[in-house]
Order: sequence, then C-alpha cells, then structure tokens
Amino acid sequence: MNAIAQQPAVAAASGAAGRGATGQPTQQYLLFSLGEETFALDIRPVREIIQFSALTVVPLMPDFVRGVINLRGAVVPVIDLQSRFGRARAEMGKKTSIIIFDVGPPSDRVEMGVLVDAVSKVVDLSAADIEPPPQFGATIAREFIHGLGKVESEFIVILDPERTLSVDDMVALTERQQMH
Amino acid sequence: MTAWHISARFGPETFRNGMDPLSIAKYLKGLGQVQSVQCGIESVPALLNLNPETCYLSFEMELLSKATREDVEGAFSFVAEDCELDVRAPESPEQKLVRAIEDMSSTPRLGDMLVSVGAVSQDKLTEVLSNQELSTVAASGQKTKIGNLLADKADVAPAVVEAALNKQQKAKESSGEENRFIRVQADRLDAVINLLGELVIAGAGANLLARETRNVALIEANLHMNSLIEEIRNGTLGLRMVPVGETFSRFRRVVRDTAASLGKEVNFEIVGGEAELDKSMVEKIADPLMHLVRNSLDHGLEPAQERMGAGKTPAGKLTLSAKHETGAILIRIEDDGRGINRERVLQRAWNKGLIEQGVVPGDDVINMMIFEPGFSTAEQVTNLSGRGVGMDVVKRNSEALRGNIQLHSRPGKGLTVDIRLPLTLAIIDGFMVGVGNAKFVLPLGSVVEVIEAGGRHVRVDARGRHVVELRGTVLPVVRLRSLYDVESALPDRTSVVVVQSPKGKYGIEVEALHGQQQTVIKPLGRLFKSVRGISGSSILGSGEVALILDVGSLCDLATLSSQGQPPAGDAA
Repeated sequence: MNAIAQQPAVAAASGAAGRGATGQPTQQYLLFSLGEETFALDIRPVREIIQFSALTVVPLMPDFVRGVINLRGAVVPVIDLQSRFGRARAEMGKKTSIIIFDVGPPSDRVEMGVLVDAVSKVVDLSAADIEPPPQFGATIAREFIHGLGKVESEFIVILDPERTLSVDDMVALTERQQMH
Repeated sequence: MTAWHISARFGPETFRNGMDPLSIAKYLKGLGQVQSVQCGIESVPALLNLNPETCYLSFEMELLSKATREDVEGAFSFVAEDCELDVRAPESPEQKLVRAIEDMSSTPRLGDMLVSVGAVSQDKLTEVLSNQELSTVAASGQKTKIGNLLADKADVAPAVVEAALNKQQKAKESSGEENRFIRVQADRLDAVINLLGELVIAGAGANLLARETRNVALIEANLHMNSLIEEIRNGTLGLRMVPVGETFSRFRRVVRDTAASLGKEVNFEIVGGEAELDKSMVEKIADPLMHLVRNSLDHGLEPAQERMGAGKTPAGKLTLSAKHETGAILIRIEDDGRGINRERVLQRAWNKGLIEQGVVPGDDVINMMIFEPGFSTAEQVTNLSGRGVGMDVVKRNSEALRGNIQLHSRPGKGLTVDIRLPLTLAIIDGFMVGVGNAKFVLPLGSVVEVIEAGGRHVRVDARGRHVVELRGTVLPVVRLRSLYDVESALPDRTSVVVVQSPKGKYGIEVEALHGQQQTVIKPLGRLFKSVRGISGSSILGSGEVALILDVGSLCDLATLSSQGQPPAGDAA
C-alpha cells in the first residue's frame, strides 16, 4: 500500500487556514470524485490518502462497509461513500483511493477510511465562497451536506464529515443489518 | 566414591502397601559396599500391642558407593510417600564451614564472617590485614584482595572464602532489588508493542522481497533479522506480565474484614503468587475473584459451631492459588465449607424455569446453574450476597477474557472453583483456514480435529441443518461459504474443522487449511461490535487482514441461519 500523499494532522491544521485573495480567512478543502460528481471535504480531519490495494471483507455487514485494511498495523474500516449515499457500490478503478479520516468526538477519535473514485486537488475557500445547503435538488441527502462551495465558477457539494461518517449512525445501521 | 549415610524410617503402612524394607536394603547393597547397617527397633511395641502387619522398623546404613544422591534416593521411590528419609554425605570440615557461612543470617565483613565460623582466628586475621596494608604500599597501589590473602597466608580453604564472598554478593543484590524496577506507563509500553507488530509485518515483507532476488546472503541476513525481531517481540510482550501475587494479597484484608463481620474464623492462604499474567488481565480478573472469595466466605464456609458439629476444624480454610498450565494460567479458589447444595439449586432452577420441572440433569449442569443471571439460593439477602447478582458477572467477565470456569463441589466438604485464563490477550495460537479468497483464524485451543469431507459428504438433515458423519455420530456443520456469502468458484474438495465450543462440538466447512501460527489480535473497533461470529482481526505476515472467528457465537449463528434456509439448501 503506497502512500501517495501524506498529510500529517499538524501540518494540515497550521496550513489549512490562510488568507484568500480577498483578504478573508480561508479554509482548505479536499476535492474528490465519486462517479461523475465532485465533492469537497474539510481537510483538517484528513490524516492521509492511500492508494487502494486489497481489503478484507467483513461478512454480514451493510453494503456501505466495504471491509477493513491494514494501516501500518492498525485495522481500519473502509466506508463506501457511494453506497452510504444510497447508490450502487463503487467500482474499483485505477485511481480508486482511500482517504483516512479521524472521526468522532475528541475523547473517542477513531480512524476511518473512505473509498473514493479519485482525489483531485486541494482548494482554498473563504466563508464567502460557501453557501448553505440547497433546500432541494441535491443528489444526496441534505443532512450530509455542509454547504455548497464555489470553485472556479462551479458549485461543489461540501460534505459534513461528522454527519457523513458518524460512527453512531453506522453502528445503528449495522445492528439493524444483523437483525435480519 | 562417596560414603553415604542413609537413615530411613518406614511408615506403619509399608507392609500393607506391599513393600519390604529388606528388599530396599538389598538393592542398596547392590549399589556399592555396605560399611555398616543397623536396624532401629526402638519403636517396636510390647508383644501384646504388636500388630504383625504394621512396620515399626527403621535402619541406618553407611554405604560406600559411586552412586549419586538421586540413585540412592531412587531406591526409596516406592515408599517415598510415608518414609522419612535422610541421605547425607559425610561433611568434610571445609563443607561444614561453608554451610555455617550460608546459614548466617546477617552479612558482616568478610574477615569477621570467617572468624565467627572459626575458619580463621582473630589474631591471624589482624596479622593478614596488616600485611595487606603493607603490600599495598609496596606494590602497585592495588589492594590485594583479602580473600586471596587469607587463602594464601592463613590456610583458609578457597571454597570457604568463596562461600563467604557469595554470601556478601547476595546480600548486596537483595538490598538493591527495589531499585531495579522501573515504573513505566502502560500506554508507552503498548505503543512499543504496536510498533513491534508493524516491525514483524515489515520484516516479513522484506523477507519476501529478499527471496525474490535469490541472493543467498541477503536472504540469510533477513532471516537473522527476523529471528531477532521475533525475540524482541516475545521479550516485549513479557514486559506486560506481572505477578498475580500483588492482587491476591489485596484480598487478605477483605477476607479478614468479611470474616469478622460474619463472625466466622478463616485461615486464608495464598499459593503461587509469583505466577505471571498480562497486566490488563490481572486488573480485569480482580473483581470476579473478589466476588468468588466473598461467596466462599458467605455461602461456603460454615460458622464455627456448625463446623465442629460436622467434625471439621472450627476455623474454615480458604485457599487462593495460581499456577501455569500449558499456555494458560489456572486460578483456583478452594474452601472446605459446605459445597454447593444440589437439592436447593435444583429446586431454585425448577422454580425459576431454568430447568423443566422434574428433570434432573447431571451434577455439572446443576452446579453451573449458579452462574445464571438472577440466581441465588441464599434465603436472606445480606449486604454481601444473596442478591443473585454476581456469579453471572463472574462468568461473563472471565469469558470476556477468553477464560473458562469449572466447579468441583464436594457436598459437605467444600468447593473448588477453577478459572483458566490465557496468559495474554494480545496473542493467541491460531489455526488459519481459507474460504474463497478470505482467510479466517480459529483459536487453536478450540480445534479438535480436521476431517476430509468433500462437498458431497455434507448432507442436509430434516431440520435444514448441514451435517456430516463423524465416526458414526452426526455432527452439525457451519458452511462459512454460504453463511458469509463468499463469492468464488467452489473447489473440488473441502475440509471440516471440528471445533469444541461451550455449547458442544460442531464442524466448520472450509476450503483451505493454512496451518497454525501465532496470531496478534487487533480489536475491530466499535463499528463491528455487533458482528456475530467474529471476535477480532489479525494482521498476517503478508500485510493482509484476517478475521478471527468466535467459536461460541458462530455456533448460534449457524443454528439461526439454517432455520431460515429451505431444507434443500445448496449442499446437493
């Protein structure tokens, strides 16, 4: 498993906030694609991005839990975002990557991997560039959306990591799966 | 040749046990030359009281022989249990001095030590000491060792001097013992162990690459490094081990206080406190042990009056012991109280509907009833016990540590509770199997045997269960492939791993056997908490993650899932 981009948390925290061209404080966001669409995520909880190699399937889990990987000795679950948003499971491609996140409250932080089709780039966005989630018309459930970011005259859905990757929600879904 | 002095006093049962002291004496004669032998008849009673079948004799023998002490003592091995035996080699004056020094309680200066046992006179010592001063000045400035001087000048045997020096050395070591411990935070140690786990995996990866190069020197260097890594890992895991004695001794006070409040007399004994166990296990087992100890005090041991009536000593006996057993530690709580009252437990089990009315299961099943939640046979609730909460927690806690509990009740005589725990939570001996591309690890301890069973031998019975015939008996089988929806081509032959679970024996049908290996357990985290049939994961040398099967819950899962399946199944 090759680390194609390492983003230590410390560096991300110090480098994530800067000044945009307009003089307003900016935040860094990681852009990645799922199928045809591009999404953005706050870069601060991102620990690293690794290339997809092999994962171990854990049986009897809901579709969105693709399995577990060995991340330098730690066993980390991998979530399929496509499936989490209620779509078909992601297909493995050449550029398929796993974004490793820290999720959960500070007292109970866990590492989690998110399977994405490709990671494109990191952009700076100021608060003025971000609009609240639309009332309708979004392709994913509104609860997962933090806002809409304007990148190069295009609006990109910024995901809310705490909601999208809420361990509690996923545990509840898993338990429901186990009942059947 | 050693002149052994043998003195043997035979037990009264010797003849009745079919032994004959004469034949032993004859055997000893064969070992060497008997210098003298004397039969001791001082315990032979008057003719009126004499029982001809009782042995009253003893003998003293001087034997000149090349035989070792073991050989001589071996002659008595059949009567060793009730024979007082003393085999001594006559001591030379030198050995006597050595023993005197070893028996000394304090450790004075070397010279004083020798004087006090009479190896050298005080005058001589003073003379030698002053010589030491002189020779220091004369020679290189290095003090000649006093021991050497004494051996040279005062005719003290070197062995005696050495014994005295050893004694001094030991005294120094024991006084420094406390300072030789380092207190380390547990999480720092865990961090090191985690890193080592990664090192092991990285080492295996490097090894694989080295093999591909076919460079012999490189392969050998790698192998050497891997064996070193393995040693470091074992050593580091050993660092987590602590003696259980510290936890045990905490119970002394509890026992004393509890016994006092119950008005009972108890002799509490701790045996084998030096046995070592993983630190985290020690912490987790302390509470269940405490509960068992209290239980013995409250339910097990009777008050002094009742004990005397039953012909026992007024003070009850409670023993807490620990010892190592192949790969596990056995903690035993033993009392000489009433034991489990079978009738009362059975009655209670019937009333609570745990057992069908009128059905009398085996003793073991009845005894295990006390571990059922909410079960109590106590007539009244005390502040110690009788609430029916506790024994089930004890069982659950020890099972969570992958241990098991056994009860041996001797009604009226006492109760023994055995808790067997694995030595560490971090590593298990695993047996790896494969289904499709997936690999699973079974705890080796639960694997009974592996049988060859091609797909066609696994049948489906009337209740929709997969079964296989094992030496005339029907064994239910879990098909991992269908249970876990593994998608891949079905191989021609499959094997059935027969495992022993707490709920009985069953088989697990697998497609590949990868053999046994040490498995470092990695917890799977909260997300997978509800997954049944899997207890954890492990990282293999290749970097892959394998799942560890939980033999207990897999059994439940198999029964559940097979009920829902049509009887035809997929095992045509």
